Amino acid sequence: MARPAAIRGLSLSGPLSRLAAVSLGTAALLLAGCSSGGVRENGPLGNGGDPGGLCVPVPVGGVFTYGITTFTNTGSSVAVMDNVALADPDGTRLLAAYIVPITGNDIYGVRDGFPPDRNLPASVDWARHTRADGTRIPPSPAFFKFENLLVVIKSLQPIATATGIDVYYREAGQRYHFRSPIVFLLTAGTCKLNWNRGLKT
Amino acid sequence: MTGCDALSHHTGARRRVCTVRRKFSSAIGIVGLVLGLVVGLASPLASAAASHKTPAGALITQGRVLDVNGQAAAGARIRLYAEPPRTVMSPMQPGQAIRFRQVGSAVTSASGRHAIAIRSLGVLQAEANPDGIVNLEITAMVGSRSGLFVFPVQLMHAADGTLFAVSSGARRSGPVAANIRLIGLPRFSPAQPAPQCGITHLLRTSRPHWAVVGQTGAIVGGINQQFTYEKDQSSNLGIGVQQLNGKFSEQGTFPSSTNQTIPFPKLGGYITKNYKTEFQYGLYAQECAPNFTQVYRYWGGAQIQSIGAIEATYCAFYAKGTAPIWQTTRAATVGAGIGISEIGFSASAQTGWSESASVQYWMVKAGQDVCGTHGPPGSDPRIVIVGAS
Repeated sequence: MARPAAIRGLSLSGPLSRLAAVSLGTAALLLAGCSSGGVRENGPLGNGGDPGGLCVPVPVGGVFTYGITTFTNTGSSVAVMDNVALADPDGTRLLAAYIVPITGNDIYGVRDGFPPDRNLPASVDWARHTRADGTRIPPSPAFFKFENLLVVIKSLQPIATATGIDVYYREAGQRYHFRSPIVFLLTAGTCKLNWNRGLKT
Repeated sequence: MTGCDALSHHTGARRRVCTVRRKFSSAIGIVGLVLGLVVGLASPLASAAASHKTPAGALITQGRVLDVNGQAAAGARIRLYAEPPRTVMSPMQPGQAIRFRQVGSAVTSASGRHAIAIRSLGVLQAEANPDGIVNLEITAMVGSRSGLFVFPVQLMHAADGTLFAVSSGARRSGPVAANIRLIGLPRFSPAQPAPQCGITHLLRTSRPHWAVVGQTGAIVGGINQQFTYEKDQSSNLGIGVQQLNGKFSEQGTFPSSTNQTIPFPKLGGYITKNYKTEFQYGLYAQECAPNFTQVYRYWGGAQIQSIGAIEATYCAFYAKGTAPIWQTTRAATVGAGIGISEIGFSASAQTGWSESASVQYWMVKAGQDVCGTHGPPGSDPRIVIVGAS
């Protein structure tokens, strides 16, 4: 039986290679300190974290919140969030993005529906959440004080994907970008995937 | 005749390997010959002057040289070599020798500091492995003492095509800190009018030894876990330098790649595991440097070992049914990840550098906390465990 294009696209030669190319390209820019169109990589909010992937069982029309990306402002002045978007969305839509201060070791995680979930850990300071766009992030007074980026994603088709989360912001008059390099696979079925076996669902 | 004299730096062409007939055991007396010796270099190099000014070019390494008592070693002669790629090193047989390409030099300042830059990183390309990784070796020598430190860099191209080198972990581009202790005895060739620094002899090889290449764990049930170690995945394994007392001390790491995929199975919950595969180590003697031991080649095999629970306290909840994957770009270092019993050397092991090693969990029956040992799951967690400690 022919597999949907979205699944075919998730073979090892598809999005993994794309992810690798994106990651390497981003890393190359980042490590070389290059900029593109006045937007620099490797800014005071970091590089978006480690690469990886996430399969989430979501029915068509369903919503989940991804809250794994964290960062601190290591700059010397306030950073202002400009834009948060999904990278290469295919059947996925970003409904909302929030910034939530974290006051301990536990972060939001991956949870069904819109935030806030009813069973949040105490260190997720949801009472102080803001819409991501326009959020002002002061330089972090302590290394282990960090911000948690929450993105609310809707599935529009049985197999839906994205290859990361793009974040644009400004600090000290300079525009920056980072990509949280997470390949998302949203499936109306169950997650039985293994990347190294071709992301079969 | 050794044949080593005729060795030339290779430039992608077939490299000549020479057979060693000399004995080295009585060779350590010719210390004075090396002082003031300047080896002809195959590439333009910048050297750090005694004033410790940062040299021109791409700064590859900097650090200090300390003598055996921990005091600054001034005036130590520093040489930076690029090791040949695996395709050249692995086929070597005991008794054979090869010349490492010298790519930089320096003399330490009064405070023992050194810095070495390479004017053009293109000189490293001929020594790079297919994954772009080049093993660089620094030797230091002053008087009758020597030291050695090995570290990998990865060559990458920026968007504009510029070549640059990334230090271990692929997360930063700055110079590698190479702090060297003069803990060993330099080797010389008595038959030579002057030491042939950089010529490296494979003395013998070890039997295969298990190395830890991955870890997973869960202190809860209702989940599945799997570690995947694909072909060409690289692990950094410790290098041992022979000290004056004959024992080996870890002085840097050496990346070694597999040539096959290791099929570690999917496991259930309530267990924490080390995943192992086997490597062979080689014992090398290098002229103008102490003896050292490093990975000779990948051997193969798969072994899973139960270990105690690992404490991980940076957590995030993952809903029921989700299946996250971590690519171990910067996995945790396992302190005694491999033991070379023949010489009593225990080395660290760290898997990373590629997307072909991964840790995956499946939240089968319920949502669970997933916790990192060093940071939250999305930001440098190192070891990732299901269930909060």
